[in-house]
Amino acid sequence: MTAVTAQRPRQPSRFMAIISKAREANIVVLSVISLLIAGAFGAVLIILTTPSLLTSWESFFSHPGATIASSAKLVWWAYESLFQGAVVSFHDLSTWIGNPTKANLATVLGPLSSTLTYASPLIVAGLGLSVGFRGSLFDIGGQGQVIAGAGAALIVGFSLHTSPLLQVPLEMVVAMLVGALLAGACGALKAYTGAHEVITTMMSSRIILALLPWFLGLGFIARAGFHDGASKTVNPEGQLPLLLGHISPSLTLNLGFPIAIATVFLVQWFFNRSKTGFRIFMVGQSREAARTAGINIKQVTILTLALAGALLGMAGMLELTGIEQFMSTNFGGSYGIDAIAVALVGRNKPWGVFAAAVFFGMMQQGGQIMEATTGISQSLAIVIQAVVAFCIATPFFVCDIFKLRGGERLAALETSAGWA
Amino acid sequence: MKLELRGITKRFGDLVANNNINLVVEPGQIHCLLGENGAGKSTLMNVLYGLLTPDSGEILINDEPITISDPKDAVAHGIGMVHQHFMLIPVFTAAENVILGSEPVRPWPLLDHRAAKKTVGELSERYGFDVDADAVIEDLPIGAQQRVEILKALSHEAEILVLDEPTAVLTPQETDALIEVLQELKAQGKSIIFISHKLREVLALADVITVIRLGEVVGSTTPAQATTTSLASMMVGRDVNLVVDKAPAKPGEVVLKVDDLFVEDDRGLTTVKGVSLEVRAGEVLAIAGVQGNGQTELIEALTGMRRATSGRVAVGGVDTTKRSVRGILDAGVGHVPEDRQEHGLIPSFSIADNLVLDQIDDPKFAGRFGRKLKAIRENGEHLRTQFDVRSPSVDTPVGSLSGGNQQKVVMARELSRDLKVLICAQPTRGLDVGSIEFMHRQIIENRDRGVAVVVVSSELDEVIALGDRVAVMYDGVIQGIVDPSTSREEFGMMMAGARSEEEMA
Amino acid sequence: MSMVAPEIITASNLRITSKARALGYGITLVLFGLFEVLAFGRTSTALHTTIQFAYDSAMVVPELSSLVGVVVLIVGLGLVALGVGPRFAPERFGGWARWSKLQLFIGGVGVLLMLWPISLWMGVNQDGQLRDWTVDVAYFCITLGVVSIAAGAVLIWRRFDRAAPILLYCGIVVFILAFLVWAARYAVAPAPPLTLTGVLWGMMLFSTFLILGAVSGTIGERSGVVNIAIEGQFIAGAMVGFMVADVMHNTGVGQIVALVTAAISGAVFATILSVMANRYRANQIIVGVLLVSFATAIAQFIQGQVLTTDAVYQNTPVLPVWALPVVSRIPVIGPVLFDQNCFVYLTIALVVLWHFLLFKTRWGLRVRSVGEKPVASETVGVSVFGARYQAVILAGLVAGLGGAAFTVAAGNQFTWELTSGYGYVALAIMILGRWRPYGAMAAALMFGFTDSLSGALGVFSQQIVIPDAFISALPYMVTIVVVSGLVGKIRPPAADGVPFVRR
Repeated sequence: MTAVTAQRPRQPSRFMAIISKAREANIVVLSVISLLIAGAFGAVLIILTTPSLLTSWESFFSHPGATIASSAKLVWWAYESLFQGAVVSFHDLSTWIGNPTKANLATVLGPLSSTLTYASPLIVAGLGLSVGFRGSLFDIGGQGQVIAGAGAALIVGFSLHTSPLLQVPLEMVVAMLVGALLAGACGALKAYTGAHEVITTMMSSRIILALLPWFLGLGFIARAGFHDGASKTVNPEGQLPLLLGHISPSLTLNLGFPIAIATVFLVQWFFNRSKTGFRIFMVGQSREAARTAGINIKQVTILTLALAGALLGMAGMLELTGIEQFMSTNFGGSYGIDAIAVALVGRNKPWGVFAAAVFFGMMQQGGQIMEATTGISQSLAIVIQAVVAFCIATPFFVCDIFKLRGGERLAALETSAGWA
Repeated sequence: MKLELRGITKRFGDLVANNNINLVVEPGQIHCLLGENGAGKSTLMNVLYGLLTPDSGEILINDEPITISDPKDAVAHGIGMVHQHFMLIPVFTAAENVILGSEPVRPWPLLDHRAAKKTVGELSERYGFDVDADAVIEDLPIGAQQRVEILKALSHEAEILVLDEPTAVLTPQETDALIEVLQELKAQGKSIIFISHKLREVLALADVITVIRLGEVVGSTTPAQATTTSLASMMVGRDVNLVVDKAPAKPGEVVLKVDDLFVEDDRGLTTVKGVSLEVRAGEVLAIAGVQGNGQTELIEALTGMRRATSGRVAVGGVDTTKRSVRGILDAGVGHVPEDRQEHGLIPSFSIADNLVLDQIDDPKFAGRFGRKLKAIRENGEHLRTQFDVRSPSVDTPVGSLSGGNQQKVVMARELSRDLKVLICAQPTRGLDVGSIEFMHRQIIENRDRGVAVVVVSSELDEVIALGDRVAVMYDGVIQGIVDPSTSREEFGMMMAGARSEEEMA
Repeated sequence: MSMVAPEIITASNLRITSKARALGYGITLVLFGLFEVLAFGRTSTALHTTIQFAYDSAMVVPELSSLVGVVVLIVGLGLVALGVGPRFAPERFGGWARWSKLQLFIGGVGVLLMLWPISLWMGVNQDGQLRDWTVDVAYFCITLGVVSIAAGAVLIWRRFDRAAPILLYCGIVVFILAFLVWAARYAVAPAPPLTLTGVLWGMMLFSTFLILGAVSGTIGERSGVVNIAIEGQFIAGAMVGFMVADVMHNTGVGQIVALVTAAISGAVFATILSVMANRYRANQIIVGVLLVSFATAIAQFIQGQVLTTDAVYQNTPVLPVWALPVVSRIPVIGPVLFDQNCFVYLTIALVVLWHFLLFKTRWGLRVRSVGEKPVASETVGVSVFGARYQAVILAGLVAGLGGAAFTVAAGNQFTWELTSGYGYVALAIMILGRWRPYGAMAAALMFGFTDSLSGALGVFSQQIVIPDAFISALPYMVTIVVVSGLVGKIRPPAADGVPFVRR
């Protein structure tokens, strides 16, 4: 037990100061590193799963250059076509510049249009999750709310023949209401019985998924004359109008995208300026302090999940009326699950969520093109997506390896730990 | 076994929790450490048990210097600890708790429950304990849990037993039983360090009494030479008296009226037993008492954080007993909570936001288009200057401020509302002298403005300095409401429950 | 999981709650009975149901259907007496009161022995096959209902606290039986019979991965680490197991290697989780969810890139079915329990093993202590991180093996959607099982039963008012009800999900 003298911090040199500034973890550095890690991981996967490349690695020691070049070539080709498929194809762009016809323009805009079309419901769903995270509540069963919302919108969509001005908002309201009811019920269980929202929302989602085939088989839902588990189609009045339809009807970008952007603005206002948003954040950050400040915790808990559910229901409606137009048993893909990653990668900031959702859309869209051109499975894009999400949402690992400071600060959102 | 602590010093940041403490415990001796809450007794014992590393100083056993870097070392050197919050697994049986960490296995890897029970049985018999080896800990009364904790230490062949505030959670009967157990252990040659702030039991039990105050040893004495009075004055006396510059109070009408209030704590035990109080506008009622005597629950009931089981609270003639927290705040009650980190502030929020936590709906700060960020900022700037909150800007997260500045934020927020009653729980705990003076001045200023103030503090100096009247609380009951000029010895005894016990006797 | 303040448990209020519980169970039983009588019993008396036992003629022991069966019956009766007798007079039998589990086992064996000859006497066809039973739906359901009402009434009247849960479980089983008989009713033969044994047989295999997943969750959470990535470990185990088995041409050794590698792949994921949870103190739920999406992505990629193109991976491995001697010949129970895919035996063995490890060994005691109050464990020299790493990684082995159940055991081609969220269901099962391996097994069997049932009921879908979708959804509804604390209190390990910080 010797006496410990306090160490005096040494004055850092200017050079060290710059280095230390770059070492301070921030989201830009973290995103770049995450993308690089994901890219490297994807490259390894490509090489490991391409037999011709694997055989070339057997001769690595005799022709190291050729081995590396052939691998790098395929990897580069894959990533290039991924990007071009997601944003814009350079070849098509030059064709259009040389010959600016409507048809060529449509080909140029095609990839971006599809990316944003896919991203639109995901933006809204991600915002729903982040509303929950804002209040430290994890709506893991968002998929159920997406489907329930879409189901409600579907009924309105195929049974009414009104003007789009009336029908689309009506569909949206109904979808949000149903989503809010479903998630709000889980919130009420949390508030009054303490049942953890991760379990209740997940179970409610399973219930919805189990009931979906029955719902689709109901006489007034099912498509007449078919027994394939598909529903009727939303009437044209209830479909979201295409934005670029005048250029080409193949450009799927629809009103859902502006609606999603409007929702981003709205949620940003909600987080930063609204009283309710502030209350939700208070409860999320410190239940005890919120209670001391006179906030009704139960009410806010229910409201938080209900709002999250409303947004997820709305995402379902955008997916239905903007993209699919009818429901089948695998409606909605994995929007509810992807939305979790989107909210985490977007660090709960509305524009962050927007960026993350667009990134996911790019991966989804570009992956398809990549598979078509290179033959590498489009799921590579999903792998990249997952690795990026993992690196950004749990930054400890990356920060530790790259000696970045302040990983804890970047660590995603606090949700309640454990089941208590 | 002889234990000696030599020159132990432990700092937490700027706070010196232990300053050059020397202590010798002879074999077969019961050595009592006496001191107020926060005097540094628990810190010292955590150093001894390897839970904290001292900044300087050494520990000697049988005159041999030893190193204790974790609890395992302490146990290996024959030091056993009975923590104030028991280190028992609530869902395990007594036997399982006792054997945990050194489990008998036979055949490997099977737990040998029979051997475990035998150990427990033998130990309880040897020291005259009454412990059922098969009982699940959480089903046992607190006193029995404590006996299991002692057994656990003894099963590791402890020669020196440290008991940290062992009687804080016990009923008087359980306390008597514990004292008997300790006498028996002493008779068998064990050394015991007994930490307490209760004068009566220390006098009844100790061979040597060492008084600690503000992290330093004030003096040592024996029960033969000491009296409750002399011990009390040693314990609460201070070299520097805090003086608050204040005019005599001009009490107005009764604003806060508490009538025969009963409150239960989380465990369902009644901790506030029929408290009645009246606080007038323009006066400070200070509630003194050792912590854990029902003050926390009383404050929680007054502020709506906890439902009273019976009784009535009225603010300005309006019954607020069944109102929500919001309703009580709206009735004009300001609340500076005991635990500012947990209850008073949201550490990740900016200063400006923390200054409006309970005024979200105030039209000053929120309009039709949401919260008025500019007004909130301006309010923050204004209060930051007024209350001298030292921070780079109002956007700084409150969590990065020092304790004094944090408390200023809480105080500023509460005082910025239109108050009828101000309730401050431990308003200056852990603060530096400058901040303490500032807080006191604010409280008195508000008193003079006609606010009825309730201050709960376990610091006697603070109570005396601030209070126009002082209520002493012990065991959930107001022992009496007295003038602050009452002697410190008298206060000490009231706080230790001595007066009521003498009356009962 | 409930926010109810911890209450002081005294003998007297314990009694009060268990009395109240008995009352609640009694009322439930009466309601069940009324439903059976009023809803199912209203069926026209012309309707019948055929219950088929699917009892293979090769398996019958014909001697038992003769008078020799009496010997078995008497032996069974004796065992039942031994098992049940001391329960009613524990003090007279002294130490017997402590042997309640063994007693239960002996009693159970006795009941089985008694059932054997009785059911054979009730009818064996010429070829030695058990005769199908054709029952009159209305009378059958009314009889069951009346028995249920009577049991409920007795419970309300006497409030046995010990027997209440057992009676309730019996009541639930009877209710399901009545429902099945009602659902399979027909007017004119031939109609599809109700293959009771088939439903139960399917339940066992279908439950294996749920059991293993829930046991895996239990181990992790007992040590204080929430593993929500069971789904990811399922996917990893299913994929790796499938690929290894195919590469090794589905030989016996190959399948064993497949199971081992599947388990290891689960453990790899668990290692990532435990490093995140222990070293970095990350939010375990978020890490878990991300791990699942990572596993899903990898699986999608491998499936698209390797499995669909490579000819090696076009076979479906399937583990053999082992019929155990003698016991597999017990009517109904025999084929269900003892004529099973060997993976079922492995699963049951693992459940027993893990119960033993967690509750009978030194390691288990330490792991549980760390999950309850790590500070206390540390003061007595137990390594908190050590115990947590060990528990989580071993749990990963179990979950990975559970993944193999989807492919190697059940004989499915691997697709990334194969696990379809059952990893999350396993988590709910873990909670329903109160963080105990046996509890997990019981809860998983409920899920397995309803899933197997909704498949089997597809045949009768015209006659059922309730669509089978609702039957599939039922266990999730039950989960919500249980998690909400509406049926008894749920108490997770106290330090569950809370990262440990050394002082």
